[in-house]
Amino acid sequence: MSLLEPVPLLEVEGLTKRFGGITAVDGLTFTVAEGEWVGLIGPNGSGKSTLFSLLSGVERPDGGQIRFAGRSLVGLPPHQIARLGLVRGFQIPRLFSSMDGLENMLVAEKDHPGEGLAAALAPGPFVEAERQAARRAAWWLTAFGLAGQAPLLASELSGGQMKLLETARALMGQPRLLLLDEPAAGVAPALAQGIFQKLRRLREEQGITLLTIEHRLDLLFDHVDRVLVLHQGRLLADGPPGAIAEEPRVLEAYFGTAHWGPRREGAHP
Amino acid sequence: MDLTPLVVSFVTFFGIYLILALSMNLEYGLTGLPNFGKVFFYSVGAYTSAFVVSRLMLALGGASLVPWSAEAAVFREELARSEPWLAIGLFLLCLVLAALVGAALGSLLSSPALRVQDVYLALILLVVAEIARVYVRATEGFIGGPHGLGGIPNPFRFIEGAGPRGLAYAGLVLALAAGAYVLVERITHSPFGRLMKAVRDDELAAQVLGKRTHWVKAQVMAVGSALAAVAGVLYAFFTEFVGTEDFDSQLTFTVLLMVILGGAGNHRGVVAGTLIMTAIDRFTRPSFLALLGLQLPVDINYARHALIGVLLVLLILYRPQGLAPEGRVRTAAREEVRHLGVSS
Amino acid sequence: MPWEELTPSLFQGILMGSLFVLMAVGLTLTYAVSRVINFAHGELVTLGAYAAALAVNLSGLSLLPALVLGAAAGALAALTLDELIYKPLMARRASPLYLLVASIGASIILRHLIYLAADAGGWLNIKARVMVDLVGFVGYAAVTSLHLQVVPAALGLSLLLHLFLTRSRTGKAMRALAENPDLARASAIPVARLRRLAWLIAGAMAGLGGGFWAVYANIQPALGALLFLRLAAASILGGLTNVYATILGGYVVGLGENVGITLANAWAGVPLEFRTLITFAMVVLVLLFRPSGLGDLFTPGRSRRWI
Repeated sequence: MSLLEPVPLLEVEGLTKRFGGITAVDGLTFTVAEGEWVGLIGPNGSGKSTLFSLLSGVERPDGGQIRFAGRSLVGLPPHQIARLGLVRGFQIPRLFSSMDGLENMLVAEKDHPGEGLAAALAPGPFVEAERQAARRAAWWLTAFGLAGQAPLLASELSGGQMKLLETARALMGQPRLLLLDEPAAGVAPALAQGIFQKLRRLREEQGITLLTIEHRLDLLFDHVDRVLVLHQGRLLADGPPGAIAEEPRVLEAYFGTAHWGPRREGAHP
Repeated sequence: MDLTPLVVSFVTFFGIYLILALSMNLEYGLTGLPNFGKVFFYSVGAYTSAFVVSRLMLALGGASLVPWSAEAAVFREELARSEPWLAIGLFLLCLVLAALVGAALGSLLSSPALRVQDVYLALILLVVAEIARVYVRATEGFIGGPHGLGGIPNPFRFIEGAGPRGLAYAGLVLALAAGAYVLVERITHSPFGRLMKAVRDDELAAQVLGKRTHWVKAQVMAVGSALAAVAGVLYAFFTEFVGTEDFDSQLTFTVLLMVILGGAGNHRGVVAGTLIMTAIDRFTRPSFLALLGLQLPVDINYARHALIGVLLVLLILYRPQGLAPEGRVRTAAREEVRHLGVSS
Repeated sequence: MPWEELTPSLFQGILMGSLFVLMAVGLTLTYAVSRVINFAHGELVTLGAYAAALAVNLSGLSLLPALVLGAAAGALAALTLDELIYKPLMARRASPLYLLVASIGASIILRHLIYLAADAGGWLNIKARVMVDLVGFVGYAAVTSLHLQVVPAALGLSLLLHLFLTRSRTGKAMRALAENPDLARASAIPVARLRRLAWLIAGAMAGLGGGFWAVYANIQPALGALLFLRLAAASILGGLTNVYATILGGYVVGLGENVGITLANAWAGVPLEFRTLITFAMVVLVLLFRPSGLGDLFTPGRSRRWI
């Protein structure tokens, strides 16, 4: 790596996680540069979700290193990792089910000065911070087409809306690196394309770095800079979407055949 | 027919139970912490009062008596009658001390929640309460062991006549309960309250959003336990006697019933639940029935408990959400984005 | 301390341990099969104790049929609880905590119904009028006919339960149900019938334990409630799910509260009143640090063994 190349935002080295006798993540090494959008694919059980759990501190690795903005994340509790700017979503959305859309968003407000017990007793000085948070929440909700859902309880939303709300909530947390696990699952195909376009715009406007799991490869390959392919916990391939699409080992692992699914022409350069 | 004693005991117990129920609602209803050791934190307040008052009054009065002896109790009552400010000062001191000790123990005992959740946490706290009860009972040098300790003089000892004195104290308890209500409402309808509910709904989701959930739990347990300890102080100075039998886990479950009956998460509902349960508790006492000239064929004390059990089971079976639904967290945020239709 | 001085507490510990085993195995069994921590289990013991004591005292029944009656009372009450409260709650997908609260409610109801009945009958504090004969001495310990009945009953029934769970078709199915309820429901296992059977067995053993207790000491309506946390301790030492570990747990509790406290008293001056604290401390430590209890001992390498 030359000195002129940007320092990677995320560096993963030899990351390993075992569950009983199964090695879910097996010596994984890769990097993600600041501002990059990386797709993560692989068959079910290839270790994608486990990798997210390791990166976000939900699970502790059995070996290897994770560095985020030059800092080691191994052993840090999830909340500290999130505060460093690494925020994740879940495959099945984990919303605060008894709270409405607005409340869900507000919980994610980063470093809210009014969130302490003392501030609860004397809220005066913190009202403006709360109002600001509310405006930001409203902005994100509107951006994701959820403004009308703000008064509804999370448990009253449709599956697709839950997914959207979770993504919006993660963005409310001001991530530097956002990990999304199938952000377009459960939403109509047309809408799915819209979500990815929205994420692309965000990335351009706010410089967010993205690592995204997605099974709809046509959708993913349209947007990402680079694709990581996981297979049985190992990194099978790492390259731009065009190259990955032609990689026979990937096809073999992913489909057991040398054919991609239906994909529009021109999806990759 | 003089109804004063009845009013006094009803209002006083309502106030004490309300503080306990509100603290349980903060912990269990809003944060999802099943504090089945509630009675322990309640007892902490009572024990603190008994310990501090018994020693301090003897020391200040220059009497060298065994703190838990009957003579010492009489001595304290006399001293409190002649020195009103001393009695009131000691009462206030106990309130502050008990709240501090309760808060410290509460945050300490939130640590099991680091490792275990839900049912296991409930069992641990339940057993802790039992350990404390057995320990205090077997340790004479603390509050007299199995015999308990009397002569914790009411701060209004100087008021002549049990009726007016009782009414004054009942008023004080009610005022403190109202204060507790304002406190828990403020906490609930704040960003911190929102965070409490987030911890209850999905702790992991809150963590990956950067929230220190264990710290939230520790603070909630500290506030809840301080409140419970204050309730214990009020109880001790009301009955003027503290013994370990009063701190059976049955009380924890009665308080839990108040919360579930009113609607976990809704303080106004919990006030209603507490009112109903206090009515059941107080109006099924033999002394009250005697006042009405009623003679039941069964022992009303047993029937009351059976009724409480039946209520608990029926509630869980048919109306687990209780009387009142939880409602939203009201902060300045709602007015700010009223256009989203969230101002309800 | 010479061993003779320890023999009384050793024999007392074995007796108590056996009683705890009888009373706790059912708690483990019902938790394993239906995932309910049944707080009313203590009241099943009380019912069995009263049924047996009244059978002896009022109808002049001899001990064995009285014990059978006690077991039947426990079994019937256990089944009623499950059918009336726990099954409907689980059909409504109540949370484990709500199930626990419901069982606490059930315990309060049963206990105070017993109180009402005992108060009306004048049986608030009774004992089964059964002669306990002195058989002989070991060291300073008096060995009585009660030892010779309770210990074999506890061990024999445990062995029987073991054979049932490992050898019979029904028992194996019950273990499968405990291990994976969802899978069991999806397969041909008669879940409802097995569940009823588990509750019957649990209630019967608790009732039997209560019957013996009525011979051993005075009984009162709060008997089961007072014993509950200690018998639950045996079950918790068994990880709440493992019958064998529960048997071990019963003796650990029985011996801890007798031999343990005697030694602690002799060596460190720990007051004898603290005997139950030994048990409670174990419960807290196990719940905190080793939720699978002693269960690991029986299945090295596996996380948890179900009944």
